[in-house]
Amino acid sequence: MLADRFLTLRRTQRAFVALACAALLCGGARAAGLTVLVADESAAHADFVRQLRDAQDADSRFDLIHLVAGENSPDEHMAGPAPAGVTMAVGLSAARSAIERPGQDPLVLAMLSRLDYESLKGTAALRRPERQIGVLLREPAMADQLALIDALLPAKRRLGVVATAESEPIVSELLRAGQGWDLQVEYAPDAKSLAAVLRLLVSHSDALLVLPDKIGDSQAATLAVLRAGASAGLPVFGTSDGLVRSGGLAAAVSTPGQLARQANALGRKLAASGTATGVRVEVATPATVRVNATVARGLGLRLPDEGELSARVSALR
Amino acid sequence: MTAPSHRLAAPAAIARAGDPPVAERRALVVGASLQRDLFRLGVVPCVAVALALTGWFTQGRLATLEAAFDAEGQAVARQVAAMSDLSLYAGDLPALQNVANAALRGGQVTRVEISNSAGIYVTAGPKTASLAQLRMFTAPVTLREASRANAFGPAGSTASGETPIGLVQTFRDTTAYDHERTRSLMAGIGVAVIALLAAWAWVRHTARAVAQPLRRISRTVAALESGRFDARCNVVAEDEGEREAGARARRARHEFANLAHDINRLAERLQRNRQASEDRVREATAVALQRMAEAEQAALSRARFLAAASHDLRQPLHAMGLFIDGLLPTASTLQRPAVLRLQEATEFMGVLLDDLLEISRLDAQVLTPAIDGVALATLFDQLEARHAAPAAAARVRLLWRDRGLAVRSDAALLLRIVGNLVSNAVRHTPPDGTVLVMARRRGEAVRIEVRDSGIGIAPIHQSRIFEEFYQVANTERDRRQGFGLGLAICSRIAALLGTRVSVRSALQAGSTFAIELPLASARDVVPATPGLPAPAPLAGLHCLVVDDDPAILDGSRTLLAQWGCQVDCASTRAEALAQLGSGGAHFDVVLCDLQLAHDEDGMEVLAAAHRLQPDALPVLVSGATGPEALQRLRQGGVMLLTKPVAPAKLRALLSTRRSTVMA
Repeated sequence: MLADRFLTLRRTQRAFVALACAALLCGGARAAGLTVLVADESAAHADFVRQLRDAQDADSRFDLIHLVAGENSPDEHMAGPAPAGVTMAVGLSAARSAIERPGQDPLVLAMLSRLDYESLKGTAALRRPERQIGVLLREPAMADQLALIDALLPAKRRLGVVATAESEPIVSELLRAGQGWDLQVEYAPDAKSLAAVLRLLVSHSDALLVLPDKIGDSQAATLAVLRAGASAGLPVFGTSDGLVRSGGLAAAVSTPGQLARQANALGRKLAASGTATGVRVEVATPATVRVNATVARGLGLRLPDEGELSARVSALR
Repeated sequence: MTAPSHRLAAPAAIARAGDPPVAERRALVVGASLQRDLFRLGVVPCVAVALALTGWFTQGRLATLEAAFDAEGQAVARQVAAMSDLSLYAGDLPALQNVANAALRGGQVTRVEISNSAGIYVTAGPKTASLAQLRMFTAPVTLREASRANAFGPAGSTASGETPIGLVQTFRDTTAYDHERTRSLMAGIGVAVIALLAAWAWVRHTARAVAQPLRRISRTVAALESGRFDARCNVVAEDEGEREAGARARRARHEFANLAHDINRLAERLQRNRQASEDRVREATAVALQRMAEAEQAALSRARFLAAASHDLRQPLHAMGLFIDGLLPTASTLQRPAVLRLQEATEFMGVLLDDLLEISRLDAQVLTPAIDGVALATLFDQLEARHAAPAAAARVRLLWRDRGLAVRSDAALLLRIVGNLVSNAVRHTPPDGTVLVMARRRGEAVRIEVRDSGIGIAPIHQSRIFEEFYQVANTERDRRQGFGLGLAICSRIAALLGTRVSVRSALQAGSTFAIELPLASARDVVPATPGLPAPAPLAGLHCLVVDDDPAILDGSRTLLAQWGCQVDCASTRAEALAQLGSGGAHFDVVLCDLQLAHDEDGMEVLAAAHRLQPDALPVLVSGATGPEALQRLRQGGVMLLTKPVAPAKLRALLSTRRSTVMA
């Protein structure tokens, strides 16, 4: 049974690679345009693709390629001239597939988290000098988060952060951005063992911050942090809408439309530069602020509306 | 509870030592039957236990159902509260709705409401109109730390939030619960009924098993009590056979079997004792019968002796009397005192023989009293006529007080008793003394007393004066003071009349003899018979004397001839009948001896005389005093003169006949 699955997987990979190459060759023959590679059907990625297509010029070519086994034929072809041929990989799987393929066209790796990017950084294909590669991180910068917290809790400087070993790049960014903050960073063994760390943090923090790491990606871990904050009366900040809906006070997030526009821009920038200058990394900006009014009421906070907060966060950049 | 015991203890303390305890004197009231008592004894506890256990288990079952129902509803409420804490905190309505819907999918609750004071209100499930069928469970929503909400957290750490942030209400439909409750109740009642039926059957069987041997034992005891000592109680233990086979000496183990065994042994012993007793009684009866026969034989011998002695003595005495009376008129002056003495001695001997004959008669019980009303006035008149002369001679004043009373008795026998007592009183009263004969009524009886003012009787003699020949103060045996047979005869006659002679006396204070007789009314009194006609001259009276004793024939002929009678004599039955049937002679009186020679019977002679000459007066002269002879004479209804016949008595009888003939 396991052998059968393995054989099926191998055949699927071969078919996937062959179809992808055919599509790229075909796209290259048409010259300028946007080729979007999608390897999964998550709602965020679908929304991103939809926003990306909507933001595309009417005369630009738009190719969407689903890299899912068995359904990997180009199903949409946007006819029309494009300034340059840009390939955009959506998500980590598509990014891995894209950077492995040969080609000289600019490559935008969109909808990657910081940790996704960190995992791709070590691959040799990403450091190819002849190709222009841009990476668009889906989370706003840690500085935006701190700006949001500062905007909501101006007098509170003790920020508790629970992290794991894999969160080190994000923590480094946070530390770099958190000048003037009293950051309480505690490391948990893993995302399932947060209790001791949280008990330690809530007693020394004015607010908690959930990083977009394994804790932020894990619903259970996020809920644990939310509960710890709620039971201790501490506001919790994060980087996703879900966290805010589930009990976080506020988050600086990037919307799919905003990311699509920023990815388009990045693609155009790569196409316009003409020479490979290494991997260009951008974080999502400007950030959009999400606030849970119920939680704010529960904490006794009177907050401005989300638009004003978003403006204030963007203004700091 | 102590007061009654004191009340019972007080009378027990004052009770006499010999009395049984109060509790034992009081009757124990028992029920209708032992089987019913045992039935009650078994069923009542079983009913109580069954009802108690059923009630307890049913109540426990219902309480468990109630607790489970509540716990389930409460658990769902708490579960919803636990699941919705963060969502309620965050105001995540979709999440809350999902939680509520998820709670409904379990089916335990029909409606879930999640709310808080901030205006969040999430519901799931229909709002049933009838709230009476719903039971509500509430659980506060508190924030809990996920790390503490595990099974291995420290004690008291499951709920970290103390302040509720909301409320969860769950509603359970009680219809199924009510059905289950009803089903449990019915099951409990059913189990109780089954238990009661089983207990009833078992107790009934046990009670019958206990009562049946007792009933059998009771029947056996009743049979023994009624004298059927062969009755046995057939109650044995189950392993009696084996036991008997193994060790016969061992007793049965079951108490009833033991009791039956003991009763059987008792019955065997009673039967043996009865058999032995019957044997002893039989032997004693045989001995008693033998002694009775011997006593009867002795009495008969005595009576025969007395009769024979009386007869044998009377014959010569009778002849002596006849000759002495015949000699007296012709005796010379010198001879006359001697003849008179001889006549007196003969009369004493006659009196003695009469008394002996009387006692013989009474002992033979041949006399049957003719009970009738007797006027005491008449009786006392007769007695006065008889005893007035002797009393006057003794200068004793004789007083009579009949008070108009009458008694039911035999007039002749009563006359004999009272006369004897009066005669004794006159005899033992000194001159110028008084003898009082009086009658007093005592209820339905009349007491006749004979009182004298004589010397009295010492107490030591009072118990013996009714013995034969016992006389007080007559050690010289003066025959003029009697022979000591009068009171003995009185005592026997009184016994024959159903009474007794009592005596009350003291020395120098006189004596009182009394008898008590039933009172008779005036209607029952037989009018007094007219007095005997005056003696008539006997000249010309034709008499036939039949006797086998020539001396008696001679004496009789001489005496009767002196009285002017015409006398014919016969010594045998044939001669007598020949003279009676000759036709030439008409006899006025036939005097016949009872025992003639050659075993000829005087009764038959008189019967033949009656046939031949019905007008002749048959008079039987007999010295026989045997019971059989007296009984036979009494049944024959003939006039009897016992030997020795006093010439005066014979003359009086013949005078009566003469006056009848002349009339």
